[in-house]
Amino acid sequence: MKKTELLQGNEACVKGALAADCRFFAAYPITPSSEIAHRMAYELPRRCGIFIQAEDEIASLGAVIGASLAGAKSMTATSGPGFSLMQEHISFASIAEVPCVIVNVMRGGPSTGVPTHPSQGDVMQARWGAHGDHPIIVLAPSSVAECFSLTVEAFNLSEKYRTPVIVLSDEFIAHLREKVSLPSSDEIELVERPKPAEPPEVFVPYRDPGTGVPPMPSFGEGYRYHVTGLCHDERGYPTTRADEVEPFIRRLFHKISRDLDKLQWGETYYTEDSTLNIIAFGSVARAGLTAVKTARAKGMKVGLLKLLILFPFMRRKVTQLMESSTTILVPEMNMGQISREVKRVNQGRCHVETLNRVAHEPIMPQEIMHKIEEIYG
Amino acid sequence: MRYEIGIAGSGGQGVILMGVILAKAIATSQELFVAQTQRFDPAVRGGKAESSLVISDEEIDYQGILGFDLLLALSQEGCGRNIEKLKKEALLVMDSELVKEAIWGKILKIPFTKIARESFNDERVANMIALGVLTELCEYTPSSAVKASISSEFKGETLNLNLSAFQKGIEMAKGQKFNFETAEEEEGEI
Repeated sequence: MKKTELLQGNEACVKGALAADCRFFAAYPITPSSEIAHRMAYELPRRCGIFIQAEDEIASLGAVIGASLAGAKSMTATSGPGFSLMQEHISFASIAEVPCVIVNVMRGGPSTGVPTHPSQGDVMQARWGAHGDHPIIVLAPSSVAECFSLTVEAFNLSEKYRTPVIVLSDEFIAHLREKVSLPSSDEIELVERPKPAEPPEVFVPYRDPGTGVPPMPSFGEGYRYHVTGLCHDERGYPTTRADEVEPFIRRLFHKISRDLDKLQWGETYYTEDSTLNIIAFGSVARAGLTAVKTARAKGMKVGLLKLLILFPFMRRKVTQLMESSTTILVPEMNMGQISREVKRVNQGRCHVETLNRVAHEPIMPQEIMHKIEEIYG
Repeated sequence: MRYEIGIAGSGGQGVILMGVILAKAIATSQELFVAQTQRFDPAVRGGKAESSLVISDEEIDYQGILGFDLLLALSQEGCGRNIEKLKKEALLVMDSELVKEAIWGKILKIPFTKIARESFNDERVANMIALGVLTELCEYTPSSAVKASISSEFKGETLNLNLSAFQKGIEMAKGQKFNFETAEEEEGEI
């Protein structure tokens, strides 16, 4: 029998990172993410890994990028105010194609806001906070078990695509303790960054091997190459030539978008015959599921799509649901961020209703149920 | 089956620790699902501190509170904030030294903090006395498992002190279990 244990969301993130073989963690502690740093400070030195409490969040992600270039799977964790400081380096990791994982445990904002309460106010910051047009992968756990599994997947995706991946948790999930039984290491599939097959003398660091993801040697392995935030050519040298910049930026997008059909990570509940469907993520998805079950008990045809990946937005799965929906309801702890994405892909297929809460308190199942009854009329 | 326990007090009383100890005891000893959540203010001492547990025989969808079956109030504010979240037949246990006003049907009043001060010369173990009472009142928390859970949190003399306080709570609950004040009495007074 598998070992069951009581784990907190943040602790599960740490366990996921360690299961994914994270070797380096740098962060500046901030509520409600601090338990991740606490636990990493304890665990990593015992595994010959490195923990650094940095002077701030800019340095944290800078150190993480450096460690990743040296070959260590690396992570940082923060909350809204620190996440803002990291945006510059997210942009850098994106253009320099450095795998790294950033956990942002969302709390009430803007600014220092309500530090100990939950929010989902950083959805668009996770997508667009970093400057410049760039692709990004954002995952959103809604349980302790998903804090574990999605952190593992965050490492896998970052390694596979050589890109920063954001785990967008929230205070309600991060501080939640649940009984879980985590998979053993032989049940977990890990992905490692592609390595060059050719010898250092003929290595061209940013040549597209056909997958859009160039092989990445670690510093110290004998390969010499240039890492820069400037647009660069295949050799890594800065370029302003349109015929080099355009394909380069397009490759950054294409390396992820070519796999869009594999990245439709969402779970559907009761959607076989539903005409009113809820689209939710994070802690709100659970309130949504309770509301759906209550509505079903009253004979209402209501379903739920829980988003596990927020970006790239799972247009295919969402539009498929829209085809069979009269109304989509999007409850979220912000003034309407994922609902903007839902409306963007809707294209007049159905009505999109929103339920927004910015009291920095969880959305209750009863609130969603009221809205369902209102829509049902 | 879905059973919800709330513990509401202020920062420094060990409110969140109580929730964690109970949750761990349930998770390790019962074939039940459990979810523990907490609410607290940024202030370390004196601010809001709440801990709640959802116990269920099936997977827990909503991890937060739908309605308490059992609420322990360790401060007047904590009581006020949560009394409206009680289910109709729910039991309110309160520290009668710290909570002065509460109108509710099933109330169990015990001066946990006073007992901790007088019996153990340490107010800090009021939470362990209260934990003993909760353990006895809730059918999903075997005292042996809660003891093991307490033992995983403390060491040496501190552990002994906490276990003694916990035992005191268990014994007190055994004596008072069915001695509830009723709503009729409260209404009669008004």
